[in-house]
Formats: sequence, structure tokens, C-alpha cells
Amino acid sequence: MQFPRGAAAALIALALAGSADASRASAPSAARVLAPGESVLQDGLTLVVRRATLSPTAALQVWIVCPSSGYSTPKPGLARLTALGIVASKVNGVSLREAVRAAGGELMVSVFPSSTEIAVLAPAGEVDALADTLLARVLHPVIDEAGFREAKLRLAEQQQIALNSADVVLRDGIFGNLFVDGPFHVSTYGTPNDLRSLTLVDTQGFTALAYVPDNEIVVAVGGGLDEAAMSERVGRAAPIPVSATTMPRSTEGKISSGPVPVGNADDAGVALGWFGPPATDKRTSTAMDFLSDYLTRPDSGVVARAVKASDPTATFSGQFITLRDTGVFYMTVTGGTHTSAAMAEIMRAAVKPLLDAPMSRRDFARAIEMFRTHTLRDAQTPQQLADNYGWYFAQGNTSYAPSVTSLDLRGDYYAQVAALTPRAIYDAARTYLGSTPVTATVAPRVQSPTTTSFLP
Amino acid sequence: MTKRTILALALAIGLLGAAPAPAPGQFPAASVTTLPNGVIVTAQISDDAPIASAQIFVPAGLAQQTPQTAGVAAVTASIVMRTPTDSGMSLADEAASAGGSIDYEIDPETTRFEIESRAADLPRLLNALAHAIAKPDLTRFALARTEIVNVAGDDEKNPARVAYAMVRQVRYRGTGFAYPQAGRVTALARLTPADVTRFAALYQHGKGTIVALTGALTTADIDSAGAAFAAWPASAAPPAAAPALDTRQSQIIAHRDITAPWLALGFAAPSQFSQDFPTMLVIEALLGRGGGARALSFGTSNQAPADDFAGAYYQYDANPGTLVIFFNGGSGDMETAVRQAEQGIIRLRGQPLPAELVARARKLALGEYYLSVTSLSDAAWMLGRSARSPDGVAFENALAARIAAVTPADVQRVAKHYLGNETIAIVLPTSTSPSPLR
Repeated sequence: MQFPRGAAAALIALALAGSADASRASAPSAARVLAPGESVLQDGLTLVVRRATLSPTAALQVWIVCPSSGYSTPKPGLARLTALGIVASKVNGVSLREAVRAAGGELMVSVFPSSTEIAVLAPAGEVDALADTLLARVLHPVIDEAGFREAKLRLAEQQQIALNSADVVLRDGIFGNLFVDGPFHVSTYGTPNDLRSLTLVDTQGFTALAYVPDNEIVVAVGGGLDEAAMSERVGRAAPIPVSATTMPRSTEGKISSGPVPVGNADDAGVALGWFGPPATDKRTSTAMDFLSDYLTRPDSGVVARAVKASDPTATFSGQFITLRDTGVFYMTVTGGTHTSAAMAEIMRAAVKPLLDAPMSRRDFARAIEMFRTHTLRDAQTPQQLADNYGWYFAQGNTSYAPSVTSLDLRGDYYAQVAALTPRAIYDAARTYLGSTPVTATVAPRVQSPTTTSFLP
Repeated sequence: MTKRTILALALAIGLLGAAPAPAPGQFPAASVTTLPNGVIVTAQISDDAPIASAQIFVPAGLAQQTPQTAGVAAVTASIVMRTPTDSGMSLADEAASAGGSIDYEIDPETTRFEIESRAADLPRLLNALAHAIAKPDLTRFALARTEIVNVAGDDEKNPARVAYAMVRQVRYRGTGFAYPQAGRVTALARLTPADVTRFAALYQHGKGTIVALTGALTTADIDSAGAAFAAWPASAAPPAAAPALDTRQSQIIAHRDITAPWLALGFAAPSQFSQDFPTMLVIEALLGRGGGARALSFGTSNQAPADDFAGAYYQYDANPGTLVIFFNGGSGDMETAVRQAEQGIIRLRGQPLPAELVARARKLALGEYYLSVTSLSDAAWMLGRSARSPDGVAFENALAARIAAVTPADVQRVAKHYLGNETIAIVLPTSTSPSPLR
């Protein structure tokens, strides 16, 4: 599974290596297997074209695998500021954001700790012209002074929203404590101080290292897309090959058992976060996706229901995030009337039966069918399908994306689902959710009218 | 079963998904069958994934309520969702246990039941839904009423919904659409199971019922969907009362426990099957993006928080329609924003806009139209709406062409005709006194 867009993209980043214990050792890295519709151009740029026939729209996306805080001294917010600058900078008097809007489309920028997504959703009839513009602007990025200033304004607004959202602060806090450095340790938004210190030169330097073909995938999903024509279009726009710079690793930290206050926001809240398997361990990652669905899905998830039964005014969210090196499973509860300690206990108690014994065959059979259907329903729109390809490319394995399937559920992901057993679920739960989680708490912010200038 | 097939495409072999992708900018071809009792079954097939969606439009909505039964539409729909199936589970739980979902949305003149599930489960769930609609379990009345009373209470705390209700109260006087969408707490308290039985009977008319299906469906699935509704009487629902025509400018003020004032400007607008509909969509784009009728509908899948309402919203499901522009006093200078909107409308009415500006608005309106259909559920809703239209399912593509043909003269004509007397609804914090508009 993947990060949700927007607020959840608030999360983290930085460096060091695998203190993972032996029971969580990575599976050996396999040779790259291309998904149907996926190709790699000569310069290293990856392309996926996928048909989706029911919507009169198409999704066009470029994903860039890059650390949100830069490659050397951590600069939180750098990848986000860069992407916002690229879409705001004008070529021949028109920015990418304006070009998309003028065509009746929508432009979205999502920044994750180890990847950036620049996405367009547009009427299918506008796809060819918009693809040329998107590819020209993102594969050959330019950031001008005016675009940079607009990006700073937008990022300042986003920071304000993120800093007030208990859910975002908690997720940042979970990642910030699970990892002690690297892009997963810091917020993708950065702080007002970080923003003030970032310069145009920083963003230009970042594009030179990050926006290179080896790091990039172009995803096009929609009805009537011509794979050969799109491939030719992308090939024409592709930049000169440049060696990719190594992504800083994020070092797993040592988990303390007590609650960790991680800041203030509009609401109080508590979160639990655990390490998970790497994306290369597809069997266990799929088991964790099942657990995520079984425990955290709104309405049907066991923990979601336990929280709602305990306090209908509280808001629950949670998921397993498939990541290249170390996955993360987290749950948050915000608002409501219970204490953080009480809510954390409710979540832990709801998870416990899965740690005590394997599910019954009957319960498992029902839950696995629900999981399959939920996964199919969650990847149905052109945008969802494209997101799915982009996310799994960023984790090093596009062909494992749930989007890569067919009417009869062929494809790697659903093969992994078919191989799941109650024992496999039990083993994954005990190995990962049986360990001590990070417990992060957020306190309600005391309202104050102060403002901070972020402009130099 | 005798059927009149208007258009049947690629129905030959088992799974119909091998249909070619539509040309860019076109909606996929649809099959349409009218059953002898008048129920229309329409389907768009895709082989993208083994899931499917259905939207069942039944011909009773908010407008069919009376002052004494305001809220009965929501209570009835809620009881349908709670009605047990053959398995003993409620309809909603039956769908959820298969990984699917059933929701309801209540529009001005229809109630829509939405199902999304694995394609293989859809016929079974549709059959269960048809049975629950035909015989809602009245033993669930108290639970359903409690749920809706709570929703009505929440709506009363949502300033955008309060403002929208105030606009409707003026513009739809004399119809059930003039009341709060979840009903009035006093009316809900007096509601009886017999009221629900009477309202549920309004659902069951063959004419006016639409079964719209999208996804990985077979011929057998489509036939099965039709069979589930084939026994309904071949009657037509009584028409909803027409609202009392009120051409005066109105201003209503309410107080609620909120932190900042909210304001809604309501204007007359064409309904979705009017010739002026495409022009009003362009005007909506000119006035600033908000949303369409689905954003304003009431039901289990749409309870947007107040802050989500900003800009121009077009309620085109109602007849006549309404254009509502929302202003949130917590996000800036409301007085200036309202004046700017009113000046914008004066400009629309005053003289034809520059062709370039209208061309840009046409693109925006077209984009909004296409981008409103990305999921199976969206596609089923759009298909069902088209099947209800005088143009039939050709409406989907015809509307796009009509939007593309809107001229500056059309914009001025439609603005002059509809955007005259406004209804101003103001929701003030309890502690505040006069109107923010001096």
C-alpha cells in the first residue's frame, strides 16, 4: 500500500543502515521484472502505459525517486519546494499549473520521503498536448525567480495546514522516531525556519541530482491511449542520461516503550508505529497489506471499529506503507474524549487476538475475499491506477503493484495474495506487530495569533 | 421476458468487456433496455478489473415529503439498508462482508441506492436490494429514526448546510425540498412506520426507475439486474409538487454556535435537462469552482464538512435548479467577496463577455464535466442520469458538445434570465448581532 496524497505526504527522511534484526532480514533482491505496459527507454527513463476504459479522463504522472530533504546536509522541505517551483515557473509566459488548468485539468504535487509525484488528471482529449507540456517541464526542469517565490508561498500555506493537523503531526512523529536520520526522519514540509533558509540555488542543485532518467517513471493511464505513440512522445522529451545519485538511507532507531510527545496541533491524539518488511519481501509485505485491511480499513477494520465503539467522536486512521527498505505500519487516533493512554490501549487490545493465535480458516476465508475486493476497488480510477504504478516503481518493483492485474486476477500481487494463509498472517503479525511500537502523542495547541515571515 | 432494446452493443459473448476503448473525449457506448413495466436497465461495460457498480434511481426523493413527514425520505432509505437479507445480515452488512458497499443518496426527485462490489457479487446484492426496497423491515424503524435524528442534529451545526437549507426554504416553498435534508427533528419525532410504508410505496414504480450498471459485467449479469426489478408495477410516480414561484429578493438570517459567519447567495438556474443547462455550467465555471449537484446531495456517502463548501455550487437535480455561491467568513473578508460576486453577475448580465474569456470558461466547464467521472460509481451515476434525460444515454456525449458550443451571447442571455433576484442566507455566530453586509 502507499501513502495517501496531500496531508499524509507530510512524512519523513534520512540515512543509516540496517540495524534490522535477523527475523526481519530482507529477501534477496531479484532482477527487475517489467510489468505489462512497462518499458525502459535507452536513457534509463521508465514508462508505463495502461488502458482504463470507463472514464473519459486520463492520468499523466511523473514520479521522481528522490530524498525529500536532499542528498547531503538535510534540508527538510527541499523536494516539495522544488516540485512546487517547477510547476509554477513559466516558459513562454505559461506555467505548467496554468497550462493544465486552461485545458480543464487538475495538477497535483505530492511529495513523499523518498519520492516526488507530479500528476495531471485531464479530459482524455487533452492528453497529447498536456503530455508534451508535462514532460517538457518535468524532464527538463527549470525554476525561475517568480516560480520560486510562488513555491515558497504555497509551501508556507501547506506548512500551516500540516502543522495544525494532528494526524500529520503524529505520522511525522512516528517516522521521526522510527528512523533516526535520512529522508524518513524529517517532515517533507519542513518548518518555517527550514523554508526561510532554502534558496533558488538549492532547488536548482536538487533538480540536477534528482530529476535524472534513472530516477524517473512516466505513467499514463486512460482510455484510448496509444502505447507506441506515448512511448515515442516520451522518448522525444527524454533528457540526456545522467548517473543517479545514491539515496541517503534512513537508519532504524531503537524503540523506547514510553509515549513520545511529538508536538501540538488542533486536536489531541495518539499514534502507534511499527517497522515492517522491505518491499523485496513480497510475501510478508502482502501479509502486512492484509493486516492493514483487516485492522485499519474505515468501517470494517477491527481496530477502526473498536475505536469507534469506544468513542464515536474520535477519528481513526492507519495503514501499512510498503517501502523499499523498511515498511511502516501505523495507526492514529485524533480528537475524541479519551486520554491518549486509553486510546493506545484500545488499539493494542484490538490487535492482540492476531498475535495470540492464527485466524480461523473461516474468518480468514472471509477476510481474504474482502481484502481482494477492497484492493481492487481502491485502484479503479485512472489516477489511482497511475499512483499505484508510480508508488511501486519508487519502491523498486513496479510489477508487484496491485494495478498490474487482469479480470482473472493475474499478476504478481494477486498471486501473493492467493498464497497467503492464516499461518503466514500470524507470522507476519507476530514478527512486526508483536514488537514494541513507537507511541507518539500530540497535544492540543494553545491558540496564539503570532505569525512568522518565511520570505528572505 | 419481452424487452425493447434501444441500443445493444457487443452483447454477444459472455463477458462484454472486449468492447473497444472509446475515442478520447467520448463516453463508452452503453446498452439500454426498457422492461415492460418501464424500468430502464442501462450498462457500460469495461474489462479493467473484476468489479462493478450499480446506481438504482427510484422516483421518490426529498421533494415528495410533506411538512408533516420531513425526514421520511432519509428514514426510509436507512431502513432499506438495515433490512435483513436471506443470510440474516442487514443489506449493508451483506455488501460489506463481501468487501463491497451499499450507500444511498437522496436527491430532490429521486433516491439513489449505490452498490459497488466484485462483479460476481453484484447480481446477488442487486436482488437483495430490490427485495429490501419492496419490503423494508419496519422493525428497524426506531434505529433508523435515531440515526437520522442525529444526522439532522449534525447538519444543524454545519453552517454551510444550514445556509443551503435556508436558500432551499425560500426557493422551493411548497415542496418537500424546502426542508432540511435530514428532516426536522419535530417531524422526525412524530414520524410513524406507516409514514415509511407510504413513502416506500413511492419507490416502486416501473416508470422512473433506472438501473445503471458499470464494470465487468456479462449479459447474464445485466439480465439478472433487470429481473430483480421486473415485478414492479408498470405505473408512474406522481409528479412532485411545483414550488411556489417567488420572484422577490429575500434575505434570511439564522444564528448558530459557530466561530465565523457563513453566507450563501442563491439564484434561479435551469435544471439539468434544460436547453440552458450547458450555458449555466459555463457560468458556474466563470464564477469559480465549487461543485455540482452530487456535492450537495444527502446520504451515507456524502457528509462533507462545512469547510469543504466554497465557490459556486449548482443544484441541477432540482426542477427548477439553483445556483448557490458559498462564502466562509472565517477565510477572509466576506463583504468584499460578496460584492465581487455580485459585480461579476452584473457583468455577466450586462453585455456579452469577450470571446476569449468564454472560450476559457468552456474549457473549464468541459474539464469539470469529464473529471467528474473517474470511478465506476461516477460512471454509473452519469449513465443513470443520461438514461433519465429526454436524449437517453446519448445525453452524455451530447452535453459535452453543447458545452463546447456555448457563446458569449448565450452566457448573457442565460445570466439575464436566471441570475436576477437573489436569496441571501446568512448564518451568524450566536454571539454576533447584525448582518455582516452593511
